[in-house]
Amino acid sequence: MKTINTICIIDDDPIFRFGTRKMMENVHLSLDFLIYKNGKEAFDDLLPKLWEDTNLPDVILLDLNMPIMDGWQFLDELVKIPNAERIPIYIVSSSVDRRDIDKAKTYKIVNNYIIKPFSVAKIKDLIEELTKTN
Amino acid sequence: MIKLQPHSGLFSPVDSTIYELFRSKLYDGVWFAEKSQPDIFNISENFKTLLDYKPTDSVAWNDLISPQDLPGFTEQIQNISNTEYTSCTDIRFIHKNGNHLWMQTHIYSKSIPDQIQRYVFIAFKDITDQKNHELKVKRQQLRDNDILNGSGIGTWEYNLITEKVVFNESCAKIIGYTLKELNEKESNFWDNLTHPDDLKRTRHLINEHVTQKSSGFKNEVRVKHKDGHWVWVMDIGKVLSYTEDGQPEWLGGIHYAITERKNGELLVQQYKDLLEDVNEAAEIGIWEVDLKTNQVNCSDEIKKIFGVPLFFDLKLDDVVGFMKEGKSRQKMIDSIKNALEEGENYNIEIEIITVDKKTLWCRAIGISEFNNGECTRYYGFFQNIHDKVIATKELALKEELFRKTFSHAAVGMAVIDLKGSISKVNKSLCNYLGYSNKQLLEKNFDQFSHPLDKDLSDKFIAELLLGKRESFQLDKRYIHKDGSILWGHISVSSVRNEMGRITYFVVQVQDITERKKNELLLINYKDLLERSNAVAKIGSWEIDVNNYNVSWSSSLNTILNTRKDFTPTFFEFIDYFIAEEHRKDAILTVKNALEKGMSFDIQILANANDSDPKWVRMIGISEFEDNHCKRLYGLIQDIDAIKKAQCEIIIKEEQWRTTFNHANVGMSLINFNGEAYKVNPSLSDMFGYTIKEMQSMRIKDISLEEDFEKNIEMMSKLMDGTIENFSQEMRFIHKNGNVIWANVSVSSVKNDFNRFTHMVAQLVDITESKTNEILLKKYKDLLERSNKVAKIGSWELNPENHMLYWSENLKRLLGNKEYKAHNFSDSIIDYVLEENHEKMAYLLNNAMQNGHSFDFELQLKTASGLRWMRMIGISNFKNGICKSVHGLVQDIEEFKSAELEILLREEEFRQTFWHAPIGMVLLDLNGKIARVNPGMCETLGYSEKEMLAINKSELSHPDDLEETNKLTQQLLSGELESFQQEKRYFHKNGNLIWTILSMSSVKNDKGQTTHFVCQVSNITREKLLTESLTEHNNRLQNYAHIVSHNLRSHTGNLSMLLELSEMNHKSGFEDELFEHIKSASNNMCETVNHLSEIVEIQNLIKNTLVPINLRKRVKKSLQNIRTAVSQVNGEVVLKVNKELVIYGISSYVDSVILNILTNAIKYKSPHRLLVIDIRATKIKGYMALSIADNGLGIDLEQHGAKIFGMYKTFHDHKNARGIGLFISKNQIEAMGGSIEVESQPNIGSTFTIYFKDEDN
Repeated sequence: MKTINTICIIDDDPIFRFGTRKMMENVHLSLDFLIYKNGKEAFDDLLPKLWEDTNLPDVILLDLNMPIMDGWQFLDELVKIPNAERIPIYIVSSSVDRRDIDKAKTYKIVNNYIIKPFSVAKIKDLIEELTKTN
Repeated sequence: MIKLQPHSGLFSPVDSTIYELFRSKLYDGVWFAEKSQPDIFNISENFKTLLDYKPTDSVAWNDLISPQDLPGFTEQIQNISNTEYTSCTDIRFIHKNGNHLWMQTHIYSKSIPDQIQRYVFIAFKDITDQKNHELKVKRQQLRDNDILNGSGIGTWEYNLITEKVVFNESCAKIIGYTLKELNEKESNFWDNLTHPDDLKRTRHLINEHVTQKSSGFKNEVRVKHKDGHWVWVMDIGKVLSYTEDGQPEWLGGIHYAITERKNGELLVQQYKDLLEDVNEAAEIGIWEVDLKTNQVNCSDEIKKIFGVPLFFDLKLDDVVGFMKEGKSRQKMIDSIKNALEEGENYNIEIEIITVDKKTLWCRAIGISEFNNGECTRYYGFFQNIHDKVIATKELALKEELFRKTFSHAAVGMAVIDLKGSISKVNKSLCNYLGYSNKQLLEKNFDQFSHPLDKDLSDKFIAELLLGKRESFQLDKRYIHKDGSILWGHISVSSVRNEMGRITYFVVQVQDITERKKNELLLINYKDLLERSNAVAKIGSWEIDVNNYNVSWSSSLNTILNTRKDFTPTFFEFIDYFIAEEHRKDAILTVKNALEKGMSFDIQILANANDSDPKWVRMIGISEFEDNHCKRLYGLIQDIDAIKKAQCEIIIKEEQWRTTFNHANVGMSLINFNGEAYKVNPSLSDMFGYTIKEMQSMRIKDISLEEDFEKNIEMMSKLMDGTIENFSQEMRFIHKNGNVIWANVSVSSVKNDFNRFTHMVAQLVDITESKTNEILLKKYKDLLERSNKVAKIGSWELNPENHMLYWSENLKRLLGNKEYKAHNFSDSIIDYVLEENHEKMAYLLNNAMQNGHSFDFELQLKTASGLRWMRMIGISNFKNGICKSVHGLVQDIEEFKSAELEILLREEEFRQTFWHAPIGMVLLDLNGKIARVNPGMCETLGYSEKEMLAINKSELSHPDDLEETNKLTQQLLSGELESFQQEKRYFHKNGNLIWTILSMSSVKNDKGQTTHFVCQVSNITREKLLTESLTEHNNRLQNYAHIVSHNLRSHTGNLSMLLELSEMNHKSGFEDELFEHIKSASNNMCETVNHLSEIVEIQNLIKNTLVPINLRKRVKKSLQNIRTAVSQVNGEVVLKVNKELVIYGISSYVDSVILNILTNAIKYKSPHRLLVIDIRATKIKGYMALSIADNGLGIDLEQHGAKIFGMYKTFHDHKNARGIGLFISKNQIEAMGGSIEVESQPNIGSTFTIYFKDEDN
C-alpha cells in the first residue's frame, strides 16, 4: 500500500487542470499538486528534483497535445534520466487515435492511456491502481 | 761613341731651334743622333742626372730603356722616314737604382734639302708621377670591378630620360644571363623580369627618391632567373647626375642577390608560425619565472592544461600546487630548487591535478641561466603528454604480456622479419634447435629448414604477404644443431604495424619429431609387410653398419643364382651383382641410407651368376637414430620376368599406339558395353569430338535413330561370335548434327579362351562422296517435283516461225491440257489481259530481235480465272541472231494476294497510326524515334520534324526514365511482349504531361525484334483530377480529425465540469435545467465519440489486413450476446465452416458481427421467438457471411437508401440511436468488403457481409 501525496499534471488546458485538481481533491484528501502548462516547463522543473531525488510526484498525468514541448517529446527526454522510471506516468489525452494509443505502448515508463474526459470514476480507478501497484 | 759635348754649329737653324727647345726646361733631357747612325745618341747631361748618372759618365742608351719598351723604341727610330717625322710615346727608363721612370718621349726628325747631315732629336719628360697615378687609378678601377664581379654585386645605370640601362656582368649573372645576352634585350627587360608586386614598389620608391631628393632608395625585389625561379635581389640606387635644367638624368645603383637571406627569413617566419602551431597542437606551453616576484609568466597553453582561466596569474607556488601530491610534487620541488640554486636544467615527467580534478601526465622542462652562482633567468616548457604516456603505459603492459607469453611458452616461438631474420626467439625454440638464444638471433630462420622442405612454406608466406590469409599451419622438417632431423608443426602468423603493413611474422613451432618418426616407421613396417606377403620371389638382406658385412636370406641365393651358402660383403655385392650401369646409383642410394637415413626402393639390373642380368627390386630401410644409421636392411625381389614383360609390352604398345594415333583411318577399340574406350585422333576428327568426349560415346550417341537397331544387331553378332567381322557403309552423326558416312570394318578380338574381349573398328570417311551422291539424287528429285509444286511452267518460242511451245506444267497451270504449239500472238490474245497485250508482244519481239530478257508480273487468264503470274523470258542471243527464247511462267497468285493483303494492312496501320487520337511512335532498337503520329506531336507540342530530331530522353521526366529503360530492356530480351507504364513527359512549353505509355515489340518472321510501337495516351487531365481529389480527400480527413479531436477536448471538459459541479452542489442542481445541460453534454460527447470512431476507421490502411478465422470471431460475438439471447429465449443457428478464413481486422469483424446480432435482439418481433441463422458461403471471390433474423424487419422501399446512413433509425425503439449500422458499414468498407441487406417488415432481415477472402 502506497500513499499518494503529490500529483503532477502536465496539460495546457486550464479547464482540465482545474477540473482534475478539484475532482482529485474530492476523491482523495490532502494532495499536493505539481502543475505545468507544457512539457518543457515540467521537464525543466522536474529535472533537478530527479537529480536530487526529492519532492518527486507520485504520479504524472501527461497530456499529448501541448505547445512548446508536447507529451511525446517530454517522454523522450524523460527516459534519458535514470531515476525517472520510478514515477508512474499516465497519458491523459483526448486523442482516440489508434496510432497515439499504440505509440504510448512503446514507452516502458507509460503505465496507461486514459482518454479524456476525466471523471470521478476514472480518478478513483487511477488512485486505486496507484496505491495497489506498490 | 757618344759625343759628350754637342756642337750647336753642327745643326741647321731648324734643327738648332728644335734642339734648343728640347734642351729647355720644358723637357728633362734630350738626345740626338745622326740619322745615318741612329744607334749613336748624344745624351744630355740633365738626362743622365735624372737617371742618377754623373754627367761625365758614358752611358749606353739602349741600357737605359726598359727591355719591355726597347724593341718598340728601336723600331721607331729605324723607321723614321725621310720626310719630317714626329712622334710622342711613353717609354720606361731604368733609373740607376733600378726603378722605372716613365718618360714622355718626343722624337723629331726633318730632312732639310741643303743639309748633308740629318739629325734625330729626342726629348724626354719625366711623367713617372702622373703615369703611376694613372696606373694606380686604372688598377683600382680594375680591382673595383673585380671586387664587384667577384662579390656578385651588379651595378646598373639608368638614364631616366632616354630609358637606357647599363648593367655590368654581375648584374646579369645574378639572374643567370651573360652580360651580352642582357644587353641584347630590350631596355625594359629588367622590369619585365621583376615580380610585378615588387616592380610597383620599386617604381614608387624611385619616384619618391627623385621627387623628394632623398639620399637613395632601397628595395628587395624578386627577379625571374633564366631558369625560371625567382631570385631575391637587393636593389639600391640613387640619382647620379642631373641635367643642366636640374632634371635627374642618370640613376645608378647596385644589385645583389639576397635570395638565401630572404629565403632564410621566410623560412624563419614559417618555422616560427609552425612552432606556434605545433605548440598549440602538441599542447606545449612556454613559461618564464620572474625571479623577483616569483610570478610565472606562462603561455595560454599551460593555463589551458591546468584548466585555469587565461587571465589568471600564477605564482611558482601555485604551479607546484598543481602537481600531484607525493612523488610528482616532490620531484617538481626538487627540480625547481636545483634549477634556482645550482643552475641545473631539468626535463621531468610528472602528474598534475587540473582544476577540474583530472590527473594528467605532463612534461616539465626547466632551463636555468646561471651566472656567478646566481640564477639570472629561469624558463622552460610545459607539455601535456598524458595521452602519450597512457598509451605508452598501456603498450608497455601489452608488450610485457606478450613478452611473458613468448618467453615462457612451451612451444618454440620466434619473431622473424620478412626476410626470415630472427629478431626474437624463446627458450623452447632454442632447446628445439639446439642453439643458444644469441646464436639464433644471428641467423636466418630459413637455414634451419630441411633442404627438402625449404620451399614448403613459400606459397603460404606469399599469401600472407598478399593478405590472403592471416596465418597458416603445416608440418615441416628442421635440422637440429647436431644434424638430426626434427619434425615441427609450425604455425605462422603475420603481424601488421599501425599502417596495416606486415612488418614481421610470428612463428610457433611444436616439436612433433617423435610422433613423426613413429609415423614414418609405421609406414615403413606396414609397407614391408605388405610387400613381403604379396610377392613370392623375395629375399631379405641386412647390412651390418659396422663392418659392411652383408647377411642375406637363402632365397637371395636362388634369385641371384649363387652358391647356397654364399654371403658377400657389401662391396662384393655391389661389384659382382649389380650391373655396371646401375652401380653408381646403387652405391649412392645405399650411402644415403647409411648417412642420411633415407630408405629406398629401386629397380636395378643384377648380374646373376652365369646368366643374363636380371631385374630386381631392391628395398632398403634405414633405421636412423642420433644421426647414425643403426640398421640397414631390406628385400630384394626378382622382378625380372615382370620387368622384361613390361618392357616388351611397352615397346609393342608403343608401336601400336603410333599406328593407331597416326593412321589416317579412324580407329577405335570398343568394349563389351559398346564404349569406344580407345580412339585415335582421326576418328575423333571425323566425328568432331575430342578424344576424351569420343571415349564416352556409345554407339547410340553416334547412330542415327533409324540405324541404331541395325548397328546393335551387328555388334551383338560380333560379340556372340556369329560373325567374325563385317564391313559396310554406315551412317553416323557428327557432333554438329550432320550425318557422316563411313566405310566401316569391324572385327572382334578374342582372348586365348576364345572369348570376346573387344572390337576393333576402322572407319574411312566417305561422307563427301556419299553426300554428293545423295545430293545429286535429291536435286534430281527436287527438280522433278519442283515444277509441280512451285507451279512453274516453261515455254519456248522459236524465233524463226514464232511458234510457242508449252511444257506440260504450263498447260496444267493455264488449265489447257490440249494446247498445241501455235503462234505466240494468238497465245497472248488468248491468255493475256487486253491492257497487257501490247506490252507482252513488245517484250517478246524485243527478246527475239535485240536479245533482251525480261521478268515481270502480270495477270493471266486461266481456266480457274485470272491469276497473277510471273513471266520470265530469256533470249538466247548469239552473234546478233536470236537462237531461241525460252522462259518460265510461275503462278504467284498466292504470293501476290498475300503481298496485296500486307499492303492493305500496312495502309490500315498507317491510317490508324496517323489518325489515332492517342500518340503513337515507332522506335528503332536504339530507341530512336523512327516515326511519330500527329497525336503524339499534339500531345507534346512539337512538330513531326522536331520530334524525329529530338532526343527522346529529354522528353521524359527523369524520374521515370530508369523504369522505362528497364522495361524496354526486358522487351528487347524477350522477357516481356509489351508493357504499360504511367509516365511523365514534358510538353514543349515545359508543362508536365501524364501519360500511360504502352510499348510492345514488333517482331519479324524470324522472331527477332525489329522495332517498338509505343502508344502514349495523355491522362494529364485525369491525373490532375485524381491528384486534386486525393488532395481534397486528405484535407477532408485532416479536417475531420481535427474537428473530432478538438471537439473531444471541449466536450470532455464540459462533462468533467458538469460532474464537478454536480459533486460540489448536489442539493442545488436538482432542477430541470441542469438535467438538460447534462443530457446535452452527454449527447455531444457521444456524437463526438462516434465521429472520432468513423474518422479512425477512415484512417485505417488496407494492407494491415490479416487472416482471421471467421467461425472463431462469430463464436466470440455469440458469447457476448448469450445472456441476452437466452433472456428472450432466442435460438441461434450457426453454419459456418471451421476452416473458413477471411482477411480483416479482428476488432472490426467483432464489432460488425456484434452490432448486427444485437440489432437482431433489439428489433426482435414481439410475436415470435427470436431465431438467428448465421451462415457463410464463398461468392465471387468474397466470403459472404449472412445473418438472418425473424424480427421486425425494415421497410426497404421506404428506408432502403438510408439504412446505413448516420443517425437513421427505423424503429421507435428506446435504444435506437442510428449509428451502429453506419459504423459497421464504414468498418466493413475499410476492410475492403461490403454489406447488403434484405428485409421485409414483420418477416425479418438478412444482413450479408462480404469479407475479403484469401484469394483476394
